[in-house]
Amino acid sequence: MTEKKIRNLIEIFSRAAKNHYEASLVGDWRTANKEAAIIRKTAKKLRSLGDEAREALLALSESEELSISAMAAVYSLLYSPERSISVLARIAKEPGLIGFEAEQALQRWREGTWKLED
Amino acid sequence: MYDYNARWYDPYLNRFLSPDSIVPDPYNPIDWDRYNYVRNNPVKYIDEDGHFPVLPILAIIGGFILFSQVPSDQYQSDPSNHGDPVVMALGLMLMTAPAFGPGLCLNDGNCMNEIQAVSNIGQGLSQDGDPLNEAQAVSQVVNKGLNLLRTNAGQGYNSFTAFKNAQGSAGSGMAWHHIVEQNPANISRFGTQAVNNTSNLIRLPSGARLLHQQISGYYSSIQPLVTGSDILTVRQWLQTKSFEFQWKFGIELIEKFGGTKYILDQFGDKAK
Repeated sequence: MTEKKIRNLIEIFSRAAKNHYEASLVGDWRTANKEAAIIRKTAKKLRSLGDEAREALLALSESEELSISAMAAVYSLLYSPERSISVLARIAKEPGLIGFEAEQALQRWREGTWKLED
Repeated sequence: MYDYNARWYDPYLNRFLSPDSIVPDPYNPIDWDRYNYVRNNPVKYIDEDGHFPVLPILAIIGGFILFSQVPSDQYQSDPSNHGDPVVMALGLMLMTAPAFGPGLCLNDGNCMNEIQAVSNIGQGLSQDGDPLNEAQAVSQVVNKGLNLLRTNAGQGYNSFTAFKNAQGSAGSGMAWHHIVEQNPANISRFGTQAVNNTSNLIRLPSGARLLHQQISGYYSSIQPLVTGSDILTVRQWLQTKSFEFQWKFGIELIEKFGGTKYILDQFGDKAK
């Protein structure tokens, strides 16, 4: 039961992360913010389901779709900093907006101004 | 160079060389620009210690007070009102209108030389077959732009309208884009001359889903990777950052949205 619930939540998270990035690319902030709210709520639900759900989110950071991979990594930073940083560092080398965003995430983490999962 | 005790003042730049270690009046927005000299109004104020702008007449009175052994904080003048933000905004408008001229560098040939130096990079790229690759070229332009900011060498205006009246329209299908956004928080913190400045405005394609709107939309969006927050918009997160931080962020964002050409065009030989 919990396994199915986690799988559903991971699907919702993936779809929202991809939609969020695509909306951001075209400046559609209304859609981006709607998807950001879905991401926030879904991540919170996953956290409440314990380590199994956190592991599933961490595994999502290995997705081939970089927008999904990056979002899963930033929501796993507190849980598994080493693996998440490794994923973000790899994405940060990519050209374009996604590389810039991953680099920014690493900078915020280094600055100690990280607020996600508070 | 003049020694004002707390810090050095450069008369060529009309600025202090280091930020004030204190904000003389936290209720006065202009005091948050910690490089300004006497709230940019040397006709009205003097500065005796590098920290506080003082009305000359009050400085004299202050001298008498000092001799009378009254606590020193009583001879600091404050021409603005406190508390009510509407009154504060009015105070800022009244205060800045006479202090800011039509441009910091209108009569300053050296300022134009700095701008020309930036132009030469763009010109070399487009016409000389320069071996510099695009990334290096952008990096150099950005560094030059930063120098303009740091030396306060761009030409500032008291409003966006005044800027457009002087610099002209951005052209067909284009819009003037503020690199550091023109919003109440930035105007209050940095002043209209910094925000409506030749070093802070760039022509970008404008229209549905074009660069100007893409970037403005991005500033209105929540970006957990960029801000480390899933509640704040990029704009809300940025508004606590320094002018230079916001400028660098804004330029990099234009570049990542595919606007390298416009960064180079703006500072290149084709700049109008």
